[in-house]
Amino acid sequence: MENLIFWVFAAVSVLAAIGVVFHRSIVYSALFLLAVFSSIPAFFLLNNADFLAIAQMVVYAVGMTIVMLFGIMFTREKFMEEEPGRRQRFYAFVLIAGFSLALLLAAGAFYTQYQVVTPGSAFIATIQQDGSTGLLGALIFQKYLLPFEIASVLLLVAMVGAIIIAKKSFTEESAGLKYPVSEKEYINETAEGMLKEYYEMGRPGSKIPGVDKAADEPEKTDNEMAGVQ
Amino acid sequence: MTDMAQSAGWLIDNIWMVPVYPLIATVLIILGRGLNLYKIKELSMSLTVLSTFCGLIHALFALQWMFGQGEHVVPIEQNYVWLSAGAIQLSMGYLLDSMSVMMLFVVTFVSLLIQIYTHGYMKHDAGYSKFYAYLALFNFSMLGLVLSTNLFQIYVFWELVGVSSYLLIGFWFTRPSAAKAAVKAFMMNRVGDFGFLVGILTLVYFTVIDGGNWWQQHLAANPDQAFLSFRALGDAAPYIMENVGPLIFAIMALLIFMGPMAKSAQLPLHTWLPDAMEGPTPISALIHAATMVAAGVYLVGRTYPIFMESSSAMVIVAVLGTATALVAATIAVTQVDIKKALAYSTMSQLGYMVAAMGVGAFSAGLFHLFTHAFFKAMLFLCSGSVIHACEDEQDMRKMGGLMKKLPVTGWTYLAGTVAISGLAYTSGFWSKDEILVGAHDYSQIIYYVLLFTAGLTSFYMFRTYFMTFLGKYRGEAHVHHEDPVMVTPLAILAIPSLFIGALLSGIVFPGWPAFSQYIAYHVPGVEHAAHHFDAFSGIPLTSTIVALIGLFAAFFMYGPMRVIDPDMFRRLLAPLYNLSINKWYFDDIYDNFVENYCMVSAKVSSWFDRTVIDGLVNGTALMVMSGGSGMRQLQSGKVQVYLGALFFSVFILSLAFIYWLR
Amino acid sequence: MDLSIFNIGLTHFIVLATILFSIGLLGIMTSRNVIRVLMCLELMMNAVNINFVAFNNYLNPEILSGHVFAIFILTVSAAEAAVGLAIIIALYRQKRTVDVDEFNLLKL
Repeated sequence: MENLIFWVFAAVSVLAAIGVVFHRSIVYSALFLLAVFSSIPAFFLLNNADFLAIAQMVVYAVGMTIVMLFGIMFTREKFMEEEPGRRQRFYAFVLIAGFSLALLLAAGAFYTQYQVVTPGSAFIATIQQDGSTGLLGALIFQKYLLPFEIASVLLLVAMVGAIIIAKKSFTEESAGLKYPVSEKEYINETAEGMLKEYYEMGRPGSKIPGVDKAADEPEKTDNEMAGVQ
Repeated sequence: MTDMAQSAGWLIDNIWMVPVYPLIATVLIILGRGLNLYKIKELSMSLTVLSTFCGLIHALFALQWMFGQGEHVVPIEQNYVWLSAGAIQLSMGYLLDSMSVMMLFVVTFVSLLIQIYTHGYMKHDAGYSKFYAYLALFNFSMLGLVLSTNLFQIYVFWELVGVSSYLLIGFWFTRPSAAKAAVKAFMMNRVGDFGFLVGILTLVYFTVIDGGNWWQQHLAANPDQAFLSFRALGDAAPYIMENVGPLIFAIMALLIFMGPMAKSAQLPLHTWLPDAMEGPTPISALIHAATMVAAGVYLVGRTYPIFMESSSAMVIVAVLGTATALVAATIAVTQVDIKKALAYSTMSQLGYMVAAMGVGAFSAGLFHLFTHAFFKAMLFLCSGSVIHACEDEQDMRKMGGLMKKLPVTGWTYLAGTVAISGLAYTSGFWSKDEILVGAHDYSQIIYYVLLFTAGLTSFYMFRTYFMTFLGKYRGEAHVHHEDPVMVTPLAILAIPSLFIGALLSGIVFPGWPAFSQYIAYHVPGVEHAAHHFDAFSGIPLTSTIVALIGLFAAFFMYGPMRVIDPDMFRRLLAPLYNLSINKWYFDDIYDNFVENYCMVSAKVSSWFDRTVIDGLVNGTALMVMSGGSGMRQLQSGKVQVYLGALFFSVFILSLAFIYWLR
Repeated sequence: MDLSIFNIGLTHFIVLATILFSIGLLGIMTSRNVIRVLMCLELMMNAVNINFVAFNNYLNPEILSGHVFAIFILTVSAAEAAVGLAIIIALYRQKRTVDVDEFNLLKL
């Protein structure tokens, strides 16, 4: 039974992974990724990692895939990906083949004789009765408390950072100093656009009301700037 | 009187300022030129003359100080160590003894008069201020050289003197001949200076590295002396001689002698001096007659203990000096350019001095240096006056009969001629005959050669006089009148030219201090080597007769009457004449040597430099450049390429890991 | 026919993880769409997770350190995905493309 589960899910995950890499459509790739992520918890379960299997399912299969799809939607320029250069792909194949070989060799060289340990009956009983969650919780909140806290801070920072980076841009507008701009002008408000404006027009992008003539006539400024770009 | 003594003491104690005055003048003139301050160009002249005049005051008080001490002058030596590296401690300082005081007086006195004279000579020259800056620079170097305490300091000023000489010879550098002459003088002096430096370093080697640091003990015992101090050489020379033996010692002495050989235009390295006459005439008078060329003799005097120790070195010095005297005199006989004739005469007289040093007539050599400085400077200034009056004509065949137009110049030239010929108790008589007496005691051959040279000297000097000042005027140029600014120094210089020899001879005026006594006591370890010179004994009489023969020969051949035709001799002695007119083929031999050997080796080195050395350098640069542009391709900015490189290296590393750790 | 190779053991998981990792690497190297690159990165992370869990279960089953590491990797990859996508979106605003070859700002 275990063997059957392993071979079925292994075949699914490998085929799906190949689909992720080689399917022409990025959306299909994302769906293949969902398949990979969904089959991997099976391996976790085979290794007595029930909590991790659930976490994997939630984080990767649901969260990650959806985030990926959102990313695809945001960069909605082309859904179809162009064919990669043949040359590039060839070299990559060679490289990957060599690398896989190296890894296999490494595995063969180092781990031919694993000292496989059979767990004690008490442990098996605990696992069968309560699952690994309690043990894992004890480990995380006792031995690995500090790394766990750091990981949570990392998540927080990543979240804030992602928001900052992905936000439109940090200008007067975002700080509430300026009225919303049109979507066409949106590009001009990025850092590069500001720099370009600064160097080409000899004045900074930010306009001080009352001093800058353009700032006194806001609507006209918009049109002018759009025209310039 | 006490004020006087105090100020005299102050002047003596601060004798180091003597070279500093002209240095200040140089800097002021150069900076003033740069800032365009000197609208009145005479200001630079005044500065220079003032600086020299201050030096002269110092020198006069130093003379008084020296004579006040009687015959046993206690030298004053002050040193300042400016570079200390283990046993080697290079120092600067001033050494005041009878020799430096004498030189100080000569240099400042002659310089002062020549600087005044220069005002008349260079009045209309565009480089008037520059010329004075160079003159002051030369004065600084020369006075520093005179006051040097040790071999390294004298070497420094030796080079500075060479530089100012180079600048002044090439003063009219737009003339190709002047530029060439300057370079030639510089190159010739390089050869000599190189030998000099190697000699100094040899001395250092044998006293410091190979000599058990002899200086440490010596300087501990004599705290007022410095490393390589001249006063220590009297003790150092026997020590080195003991350690290295006579052959090495003689080589060392001759290496040191190479410096004087070039600077004082001794035989193998003399060819620059006649060419140096391309410089303005005041320069010829000051540097290439009176002071700088005498520096070589002065250096021999300073390092005399070394030469005293090695009799073989002394023989070579004596022979070289004698040969120089003879060769130069024979060349001077056929010269038609007045300055060239005087230049060869200078060379001949320098040969005399060096020969005197070689034969052991130490004080006589320096005495001749002393008197020669006055009358030769005067002779050159006279020639300058003549050239100035004849509108830059230097060929004596186009002169003649200038006595009427230029009376003061003519008379002073006659005085100088008489003095250099050693006639009738003039300065040259005393110094030259002392040398002859010394040579007579040393070697008969040298004596007779020098005697013959004395006759030749008299002959060619009177020849120039007769050709220039007597007879009829043969040139086309309009002869100007004398410039009083130029003539006054001549008249002043005529006095010491005629009388200073008698004054310091110790014979005519028994009460006066004798030069030979003062100078002879200068070197510790050198005994009073004054020869028993008697003005009325055989040798002076013989030399006077020889000089008179020369005078009459010149008179009959070139005098107003023209009793004998010189062309007859020219035909009779054709080989000798050719030898003389071609300057003994020295220049040709050197040119040949340079052409055939130096140029070839230079070409080989140049080829080696261009292909191998430059090839290496350029190859390296090329390699870096091509390597850089090659590596630049790797920096594509594409993340995937970087990632590929990363995983490729991981692959390599894991292979190595498997291989090594299994 | 010996079918014992089908009886799963540690080596099976390791080889599976290696294959998934290599496929992910291949995707990273060859993809031109930057989002696909990100996906392949996640794939590689999962391969690593499988390794951790399998090693933990077979070599040291009573202490669940491997699981803890897997959880940390999960956290890090979640953070990485979030920031990575944010960067991609920011870049897309600049360049109007998601082609990796266009993102060569590292080159001066």
